Amino acid sequence: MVGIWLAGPVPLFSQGLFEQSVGRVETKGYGLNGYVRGMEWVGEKTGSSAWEQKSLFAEGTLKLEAGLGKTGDAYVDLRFRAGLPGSIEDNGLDLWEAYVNLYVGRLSFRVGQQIDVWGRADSYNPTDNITPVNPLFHSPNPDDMRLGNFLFKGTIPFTRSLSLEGVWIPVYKESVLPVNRNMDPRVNFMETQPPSFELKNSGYAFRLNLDRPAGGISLSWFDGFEPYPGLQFDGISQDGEGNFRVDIAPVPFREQVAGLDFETVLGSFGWRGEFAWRRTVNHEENYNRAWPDLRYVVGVDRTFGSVTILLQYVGHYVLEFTEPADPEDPNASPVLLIQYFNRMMFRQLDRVSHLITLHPSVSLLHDELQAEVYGEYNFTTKEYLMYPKVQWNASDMIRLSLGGNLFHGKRNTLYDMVRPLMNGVFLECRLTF
Amino acid sequence: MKKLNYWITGMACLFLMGMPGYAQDGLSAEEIMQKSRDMSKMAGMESVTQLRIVDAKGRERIRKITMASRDEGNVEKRIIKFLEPADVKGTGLLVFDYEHKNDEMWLYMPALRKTRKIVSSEKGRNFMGSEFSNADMAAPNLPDFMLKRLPDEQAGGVDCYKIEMTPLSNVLVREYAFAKKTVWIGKKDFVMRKAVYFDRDGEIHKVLTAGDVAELDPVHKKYIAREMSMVNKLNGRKSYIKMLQVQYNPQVNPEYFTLTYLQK
Repeated sequence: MVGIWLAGPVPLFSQGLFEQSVGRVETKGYGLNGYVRGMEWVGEKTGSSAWEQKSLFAEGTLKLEAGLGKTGDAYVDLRFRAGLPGSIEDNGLDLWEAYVNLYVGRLSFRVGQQIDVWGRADSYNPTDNITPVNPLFHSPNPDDMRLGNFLFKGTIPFTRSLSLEGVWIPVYKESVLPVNRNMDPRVNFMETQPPSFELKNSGYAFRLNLDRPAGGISLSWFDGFEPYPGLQFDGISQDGEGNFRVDIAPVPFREQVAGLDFETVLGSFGWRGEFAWRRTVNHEENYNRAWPDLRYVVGVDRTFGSVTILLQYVGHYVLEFTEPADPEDPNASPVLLIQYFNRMMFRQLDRVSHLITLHPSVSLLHDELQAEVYGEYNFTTKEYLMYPKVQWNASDMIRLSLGGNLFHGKRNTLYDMVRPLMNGVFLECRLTF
Repeated sequence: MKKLNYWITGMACLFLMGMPGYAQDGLSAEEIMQKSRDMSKMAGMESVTQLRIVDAKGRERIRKITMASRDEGNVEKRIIKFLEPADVKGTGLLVFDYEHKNDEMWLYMPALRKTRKIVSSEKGRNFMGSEFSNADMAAPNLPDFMLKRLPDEQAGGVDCYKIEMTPLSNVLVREYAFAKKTVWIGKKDFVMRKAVYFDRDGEIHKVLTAGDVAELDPVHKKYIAREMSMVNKLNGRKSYIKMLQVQYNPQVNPEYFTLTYLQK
């Protein structure tokens, strides 16, 4: 009976102005918009205090929305790029997203290349494991770092406030590791060895959402490959000149993540939190894998006039913890060093770690100028990050953004390693149409 | 984005103050304001609205939104989607407006691909960079004001009741962003035709004018003002709101007012 109710026809309501305006009816046809932008990123030169050009590119985006009648619609985000978005010239075309939505009664389905973001916390989302990212793509908009993946997604609204989402991930797509693959000629970073294209290697995820006026809460489950692969020692080889080098292969691993996130408003404060328990198997024998852990985020935000402040605590507890190898030990084997790297990548060098994030933002000049700073400090590892940004909406179509990244960490920490890749100042000019 | 709520509430209050087509004189200030407020309730409505902002140098910015609302007795639900400019297209706001408690609001930001539940207590800020503030766009909470009926006066050639509204405390002055406000309410339709806002020094800060009043619901004799302008006398900026399309629709789809729809 429930199935009949879900798939059955939605009660007839007049097709109104609102639905026509947002483009979900046959009469709308299609809509086209997008933007053109130029981006310059100047950053710290690897191994020196000098600065160098990290990124210089022009990009055009076309976003096409097409109505397919009352049964669905389609969306395509196509990006043309010329220049140096990273350290490698890229004069290519990216199909950022391309998917079709289908509506069957109250059920909705989305099939195709898409980005799906889970979690209610800010910046740290341990329940968000479906969409891979490229942290080396320099852009003022963090969403540009996300990488679309082919997914099947379905949503079942049991009631107006209770819904279930299901996602099937038939093909693994990796996140880009924040490492300079050419940092040491004695190390050979190999291409990632993706899991074979088999049904048993697909991933899936479910999320049950309850959104009431008093607040919202979600329970989630993910079973699939962690977007970031772990590194694995693959042997010793010789380069073209006969020099020996260590071969390192990124190898994806499977994990299960049970999550919970919530948000509510109490008085003038907004509260949100996110908790995740991660399970991996055979992590002791397979050092490319993250260890089972608990990750948790609790945040509060408050607005004072035109200023908004968001404060978060981020905690991490590694289950079955053992001390990592000393990376400074001259006798440490490549395997131990790679194991150290993996644990650094997955933030598992300490049994417990504590981190605070602070994100103030202000809107000035009748919302024409916005300024913000995202900052975080890890009390356990002493790493910190600052990300200031100023954005001027010169007109409804033209926007200028100026900002930068400042990562800092002690030797043998993640932020010390990514510092040469990430630190710098950017300027973006964007025209939206 | 939180300010959208006040705008839409303002739509309800400023545009939709309707009444049966006959005048009732001898009313107190409280009765007139309460009647305007009560008459603003509509079973359902959909609209496409343009906001034009003109700065002191004559430069213009245009915003366009579409909105649907539905009255469910103890709560009025509204969903708003940005249509223009393209930079913010797809941004959406869902508001549950309760009569006797704070609003509940959710904001969907396409750039973040997330819906956020947000705090609805920003009455003092400019709305979307315009001269309409959140406070003057929201339905005034009448117990927050001392109301005084002044001698009747015409506004825009229409016979009006003239009411003076003074916030009861300094906190409320800050919250509503004016020290005193005088409003002109049409005697026949109870649609507000004009409002003058005074600052703490008693100087005129802003002047609101409403026009193009039309009957939206002939059965229940509901009227709306389809145009409003706000002129800031201190900085020379002007803002204009114009309903490009409006539709009375008591059968508005209740599925619009869900987070699932907000994120579509």
